[in-house]
Amino acid sequence: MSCHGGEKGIAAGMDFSGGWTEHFNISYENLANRRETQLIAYWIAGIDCMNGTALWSAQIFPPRSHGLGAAPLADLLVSGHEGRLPDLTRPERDLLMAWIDSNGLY
Amino acid sequence: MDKNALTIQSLWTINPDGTQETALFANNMVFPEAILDARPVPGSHVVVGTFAKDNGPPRGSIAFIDPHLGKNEPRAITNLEHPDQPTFDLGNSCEPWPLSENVVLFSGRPAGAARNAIEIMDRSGSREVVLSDPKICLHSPMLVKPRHPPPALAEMADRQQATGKFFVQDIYQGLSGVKRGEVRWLRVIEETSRVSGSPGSPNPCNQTFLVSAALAFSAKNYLGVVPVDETGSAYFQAPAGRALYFQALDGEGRLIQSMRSFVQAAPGTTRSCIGCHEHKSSAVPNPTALPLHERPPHPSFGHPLPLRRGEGTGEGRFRASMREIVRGNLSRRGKNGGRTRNNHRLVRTDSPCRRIALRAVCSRKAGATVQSISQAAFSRFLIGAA
Repeated sequence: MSCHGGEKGIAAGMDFSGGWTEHFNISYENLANRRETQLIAYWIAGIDCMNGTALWSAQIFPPRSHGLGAAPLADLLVSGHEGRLPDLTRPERDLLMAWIDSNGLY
Repeated sequence: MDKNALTIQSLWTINPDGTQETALFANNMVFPEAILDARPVPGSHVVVGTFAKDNGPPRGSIAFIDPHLGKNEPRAITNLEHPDQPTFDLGNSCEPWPLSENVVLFSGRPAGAARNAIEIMDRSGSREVVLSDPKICLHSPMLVKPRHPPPALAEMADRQQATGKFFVQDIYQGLSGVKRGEVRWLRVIEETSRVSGSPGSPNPCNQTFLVSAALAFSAKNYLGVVPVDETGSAYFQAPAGRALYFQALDGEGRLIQSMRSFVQAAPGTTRSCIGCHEHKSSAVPNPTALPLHERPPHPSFGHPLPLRRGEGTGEGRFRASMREIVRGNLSRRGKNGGRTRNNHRLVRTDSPCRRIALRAVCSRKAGATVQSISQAAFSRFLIGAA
């Protein structure tokens, strides 16, 4: 927590310190943000389904091109984030993975 | 599934008793935006329909569709009014009634006319007015003549059962670039409706903020996982009558491929597929080994495996997941022994957060809710219990 919105700053630009936004909260919006392109929620490799993006979201994506097959957050979860996730159990990890793969529900 | 919900209004089929629904055409096409008034051509596999716009008048262009030529390919379309633009979906035509694979009655707007008339048109686009009225538009032509009733289908469902069975022959069929042995699990997810209110902003934007940040459009439940064997086969049972979709996972639980439509099994019925995004009209490949449901030595022969819960199962909501964790933390002092009702192990939260949660849940002070503290605790969960 200290590295992501705490006393050590906001590592990787990810602020998990909490607080409401207009529609969601800061943690969620950081996880769902479009860091590089509007079409992809960067950290979870989520598929943008906004109006006007149907030509992107309608396609049958190749294997490992969205969700955990392509998400930077997946590497952190699988690797343990360099030992920073010592208490994360497999069921908890798998629940987070399912959340990522189901396209970032709030 | 996880695509724009507005301009992808494709053509599906379903039996009269609610069984065997399946996507027939354009489930992954943006244009035509909507296929309306679809009718089968008598004595043919060809379908005729109106290609129209999303959220517009139910009028457009009349087109034949030959599903044998593809599920998402424009070459399967014969657009009678715009032969050079098969997916063209504008115009004033609607309500086609096919007479054959070449001729169709429909409601159309003759050149220079102010109102729709009943017209007849062939595949070359030649059209003639059959009936018109200067005062009103004419709609819904129908050929009236004696005809045989459609064949009655036997009831396939056993309505006393609560589950259906699902069988995948060889998941590697259609998974390009994925080596055999990589797929170890199928995750089973239910798409469902949000039943709670939408706290926060009273003005959700673009219809998507109710559920996600313009990502998923539906609430989801993670029902469990089932193993995929070395031949790519899976055979399992899942709740009946639910809109389910499956995700192929590797040994670490990471997503390889996800379905782009849904499937449901009526109670007691079996749904099956060849592989993952294989062509639905393709034949079953000659397997090197019998698929699971035909393999006599297997102890589960004839008995589909149940879903495994506890490995990534639960409610598919950012805040709902957190709510369980918070509740679990609170109940750690009580009878639940430090686990949530879905048996998730609890993570630690610091004292201030816990005090806030206790205040919110226990004292029920005005403005203090479980949700009001959930984001901070979930953040702690995401980055590890510090």
